[in-house]
Amino acid sequence: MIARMAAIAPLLLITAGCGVMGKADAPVTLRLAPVFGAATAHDRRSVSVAPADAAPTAARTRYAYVDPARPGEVNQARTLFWEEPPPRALGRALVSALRARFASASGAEVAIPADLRVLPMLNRFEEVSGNPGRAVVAFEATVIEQGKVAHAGSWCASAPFAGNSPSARAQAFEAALASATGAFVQDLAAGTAPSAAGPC
Amino acid sequence: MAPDTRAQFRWGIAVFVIALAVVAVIAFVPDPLFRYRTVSTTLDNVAGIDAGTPVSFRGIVVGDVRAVDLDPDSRNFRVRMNVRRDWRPSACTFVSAAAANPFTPPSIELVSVEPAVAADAGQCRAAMAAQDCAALPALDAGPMAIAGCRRAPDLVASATMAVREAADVARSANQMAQRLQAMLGSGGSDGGAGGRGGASMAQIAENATRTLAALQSLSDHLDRSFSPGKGDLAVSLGNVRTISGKIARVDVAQIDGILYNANGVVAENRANLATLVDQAAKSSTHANQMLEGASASLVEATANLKRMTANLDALSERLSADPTFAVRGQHYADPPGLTPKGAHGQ
Repeated sequence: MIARMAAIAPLLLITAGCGVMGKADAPVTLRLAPVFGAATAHDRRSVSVAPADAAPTAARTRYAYVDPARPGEVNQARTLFWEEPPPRALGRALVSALRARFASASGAEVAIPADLRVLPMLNRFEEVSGNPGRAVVAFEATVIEQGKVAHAGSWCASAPFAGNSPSARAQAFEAALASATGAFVQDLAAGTAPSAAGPC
Repeated sequence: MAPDTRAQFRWGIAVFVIALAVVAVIAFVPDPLFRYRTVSTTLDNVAGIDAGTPVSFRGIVVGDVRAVDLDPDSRNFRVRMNVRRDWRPSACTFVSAAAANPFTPPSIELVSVEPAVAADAGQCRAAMAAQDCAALPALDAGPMAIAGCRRAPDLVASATMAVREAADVARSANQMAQRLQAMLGSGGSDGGAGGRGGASMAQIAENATRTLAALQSLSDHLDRSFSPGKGDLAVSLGNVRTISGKIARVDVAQIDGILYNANGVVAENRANLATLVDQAAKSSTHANQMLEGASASLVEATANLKRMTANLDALSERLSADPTFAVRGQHYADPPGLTPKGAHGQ
């Protein structure tokens, strides 16, 4: 009995300590729903988007941010999380953006033949902190058509935060995601080199 | 009348001796009030099990382990347990010892299958098998000897096996992709090039579907289970010593080796896929459709497997460097300027 009490006592003390020291974390889950308008010109080709690969930090649901003073260090937030892993959000955004322009676009869940196959790789999905901070989304994509690489490049977009709240951050990420994927679709349809590449 | 001091002294000594005897009985006799009976079972692995380990039945503790002895002939262990007298075994009763992971102590569970479910020995064996119990040859006989189950591996051992299995499935997928390439390269993929080619392609397609479904399910499950900060690595503070002793000694090297091989297979799969997709574009519509589906599944399964191995790799690295990481977790800080939930300040 004494041994049990001795084992339980530290736990009770820690629990009480936590209670005294402050409140527990309140995680905030951020949802992304980028919206794409209908395109003026339609492409008759069909497109299939493979599951996006991602750099390790960009693949996590935990929100990542970078201090501009230490650009080589990626930090992870304590209480902010994405509702779904960013690579999946990129895949969905690409499908939505492609649907607005191409005859048909499908994700990996629909395994059908397509004229074009897109293989995306998410490189950055992070906040660059500052005043105001901004959301940065960067990805690479390789497009295969008729068994050959038809298009390849990097696309990057950023959007400033309209405020410091989690919702303002999510909205900035939506805008950056829409901008980067929109640029990709525009370049793919036009057959031009990446227009949104470069530092952002 | 003056008190008899000699008689008082004798009575005092007698009371003292009786009290000492009572204390001795309570302290040294395991069950002075005969509330327990001793039952025995046979186990093949008693890691973490010793005298005092609780024995439970359907959620309540009904006793504890009294002694663990090694049987030199069978190399199994005879485990004697003190169990409450009001607990009686059914005709189909067995003992299961398991730990969820090496960080938590094992528990011994008495499982009784009711006669309505297991009326004879055959039904009892089936009921045991249904509960993942592979019975060990019993060291004792008699009504108080209960069958013991072969001990199931803990979480990390399961993970090791699962990763090995995933690597095997990935290797099968790899071989499947190579066979498809070979067939396409030799022009036999068309389905119209002869009955044999069509049948082979159908067979390969079926195999491919099964292999990929297995790989996908497994990789998805592993990915979910082993992401750092999630899964079953919630441990109690009291088990830190167990963690530091076991994880570094047994598992990390083994898992790392398997991860190295799995990563190699994943890289090979990705290289094969590029060729596969290229060849699919040149083949007929039928083969093209099949290959499109197979390659999409393989890409997704490979991505899941890669993510899972990366997570497991990171986790094992962290734990080998600092076993208390599983308890303490990682220090995170919110980005500067973040306002609380619901606020919209600038």
